[in-house]
Amino acid sequence: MKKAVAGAIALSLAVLTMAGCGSNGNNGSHAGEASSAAPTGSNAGEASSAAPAGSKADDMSDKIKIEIMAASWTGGGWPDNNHPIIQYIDKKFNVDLQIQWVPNANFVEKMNVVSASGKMPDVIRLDPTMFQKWVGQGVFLDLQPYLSDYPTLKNVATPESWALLNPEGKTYAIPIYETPQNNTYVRSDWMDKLGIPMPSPDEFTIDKFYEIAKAFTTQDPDGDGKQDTFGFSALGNSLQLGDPQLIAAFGLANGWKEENGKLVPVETQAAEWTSFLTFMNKAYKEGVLDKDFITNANFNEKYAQGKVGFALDMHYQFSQTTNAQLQAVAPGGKFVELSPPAGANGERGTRTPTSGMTKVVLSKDMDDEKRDRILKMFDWWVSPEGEDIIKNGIEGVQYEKAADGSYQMTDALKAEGEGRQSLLWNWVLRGNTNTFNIYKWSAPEWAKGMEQSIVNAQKYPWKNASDGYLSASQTYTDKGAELDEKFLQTVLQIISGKKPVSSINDAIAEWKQNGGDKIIEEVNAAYQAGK
Amino acid sequence: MMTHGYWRRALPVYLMILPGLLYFIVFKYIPMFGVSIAFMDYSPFKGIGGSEWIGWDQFRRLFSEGDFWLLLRNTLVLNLLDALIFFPAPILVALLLNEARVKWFKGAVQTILYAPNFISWVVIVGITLQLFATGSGAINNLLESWGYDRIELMTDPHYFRWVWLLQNIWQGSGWGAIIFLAALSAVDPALYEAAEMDGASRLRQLRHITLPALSGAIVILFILRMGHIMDLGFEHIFLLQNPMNQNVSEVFETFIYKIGLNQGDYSYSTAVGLFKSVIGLVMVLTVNKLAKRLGQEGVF
Repeated sequence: MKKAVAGAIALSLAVLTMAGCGSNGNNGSHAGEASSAAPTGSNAGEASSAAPAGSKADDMSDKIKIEIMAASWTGGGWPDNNHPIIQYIDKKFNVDLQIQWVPNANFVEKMNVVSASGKMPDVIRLDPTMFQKWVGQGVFLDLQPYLSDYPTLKNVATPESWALLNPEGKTYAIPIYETPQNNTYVRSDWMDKLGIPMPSPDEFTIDKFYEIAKAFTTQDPDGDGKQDTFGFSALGNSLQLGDPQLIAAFGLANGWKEENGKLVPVETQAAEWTSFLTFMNKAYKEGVLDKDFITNANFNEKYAQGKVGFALDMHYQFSQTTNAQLQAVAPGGKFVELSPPAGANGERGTRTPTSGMTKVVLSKDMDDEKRDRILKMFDWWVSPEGEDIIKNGIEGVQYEKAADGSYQMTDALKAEGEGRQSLLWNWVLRGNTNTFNIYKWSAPEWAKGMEQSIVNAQKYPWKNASDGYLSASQTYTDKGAELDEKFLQTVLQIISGKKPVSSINDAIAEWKQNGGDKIIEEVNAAYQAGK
Repeated sequence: MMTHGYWRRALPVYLMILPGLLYFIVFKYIPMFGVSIAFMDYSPFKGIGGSEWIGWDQFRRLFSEGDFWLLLRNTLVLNLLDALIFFPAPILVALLLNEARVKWFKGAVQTILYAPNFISWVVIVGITLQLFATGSGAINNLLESWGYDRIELMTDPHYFRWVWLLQNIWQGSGWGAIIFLAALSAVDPALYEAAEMDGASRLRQLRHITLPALSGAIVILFILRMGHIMDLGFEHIFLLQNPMNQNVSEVFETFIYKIGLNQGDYSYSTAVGLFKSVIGLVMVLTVNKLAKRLGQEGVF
């Protein structure tokens, strides 16, 4: 205990010193920061009682410009900052929201450029790798002293999520709630055509998976007389190959797993890799695995083209988009949900993200007024009232109430596309329920299906045991990506038959020797210390 | 002695230089000071003034990097292929076009050949992937239906260099020919007429009139090309890169992108870039000197 307190003081001193260095260039705001950061190290209780003075003083009479940077996904962000929902928030909180949507593929690059320029946006949504990279630089605002004034926001996550990835006693970000959503799907029309009954979860083993996938490949399920279909696809750009449910069935870890009180990385699981790669190589050779998997960047196009039998995504994607696209080329085509396949020893899993790994940070370079305004806005944002606006939009603009009391989308939103109104909810900050894609006007039947699919995805958790500890490894930060790239190269070469399966042992040895051993050591040291 | 009258006449001319001069000062010379971060442990939050000087450490790291020789080899091999095979291609195109006597034909061919220059690499690589994908590519489907094996053109590392080179030639040779065609249009037609009178064949005319007329342009372009011995153009290679061909496709540009922009290791990536520039400078100076010694005009 004594040690922890001393550590916390030392750390906050270090952060203070860094803060001092960092803001020398920014005239003016320095004094405000020092006074707001100082109480944290000594006593958190004092700090929270000192803070309200600031927030009460804000009568929202000044218009404040708030810059938010977040990643955008399929469809991109809103074209400008005049969206009705933004205007609503602007008016309600007397702010000028400037949202910068950065396509997710370029986000890391953009973040590095923005930070190199020394001018951070006020609010940024970050993935864990980037959060860990920057959190030690003293550029984010510690929210700890102010949170108790914003109870709704505080209750959006568990204390563990708030603390995750943060140095002790500090809270540098608002954690994002996450749940597994992806399930395994299969073309039900192909199953019918080939007379294969739907397997129950118990029957659906990895062998059964292969048997069905092979039938899809060889028995011409699309009936065009050509052997141009395949069982499943994969991606060549990450170690999980876009097929985490297959990796899990072979007992491989989701990054790291715990074994006898120690953390073990997936890169060292020689026996599991050997059986997994034997399986994949056979699938490649027999045409069961998509021959183009190495150059695939995403699956959706493949699914919609009607050449692949198994799929992995969320219910929303299939029920709203993919099935309709598929039916345009293959009448009657439909993907339906299955459990993940079970491996030889009964292992099965759906990749389970850890809530709080994704973060929303505030920049340290802001005055108290702006800080309070942002936190006040977010406090409302995740309240039922805020959720209604931010997720569904504004009555009369995005949706209308019919005579019978039911809701329906306006033509404008229909033209724009359902879900386009909820970008702030899904891509910036959202609450902790599983109803994020269900709207006021959603058909109850469909909404039930959505919630059920999330319940199903939660049935077979497959977590990364190193979440929260990996950041402690400097070697991982410096070389982890590079080492994995080399490892992935061997994996792909083995699957495509360029190298024998046994060469995975060389890749493992190389991974360990070039820095892996050190990563294991550093991560485990953090793990033992944090237990 | 510069007189008042001289300045009166010259001042407008000097003023006209000013925008160009400012451009080079502001956008080319001032940013050069940024190179100093190659000798620092640079952190954007401390700034150039606050970051720690660490001397040659970043360069030591580069030369001891396991991948350094791989990067150097790939960069040089690709550049050598480019200089030996791609560089002469536009000259050949220009010579062939020069021999075409039907005007509309020459114009049409020229337009068709240089049109690809306006297609971006994203599109070119995208089309290539569509055509040559191992499993679904049209060409591989055709090959299989004729009873041949499928070719893993995009993922087999052996093909990478040739795919890259042929795409370069397809995209760039028509455009590159323009400068040589311009040089050829300056040749006095009387020379050809005289040669014909003397009974010189087409090939002899080519050798003794056309090629000498081009040699100045060829040498200058070659010197400039040598200055880029370490440059390959990031976009094209990056788009063609995948984990399977990385051993032959990883070059300095893609490496700098990965460590600089993706990992945010600014100092190290600047050091790599600086190393590249120094080699480029040495190459330009050497080749320039060599050209002069061989009796050609250099760049400077």
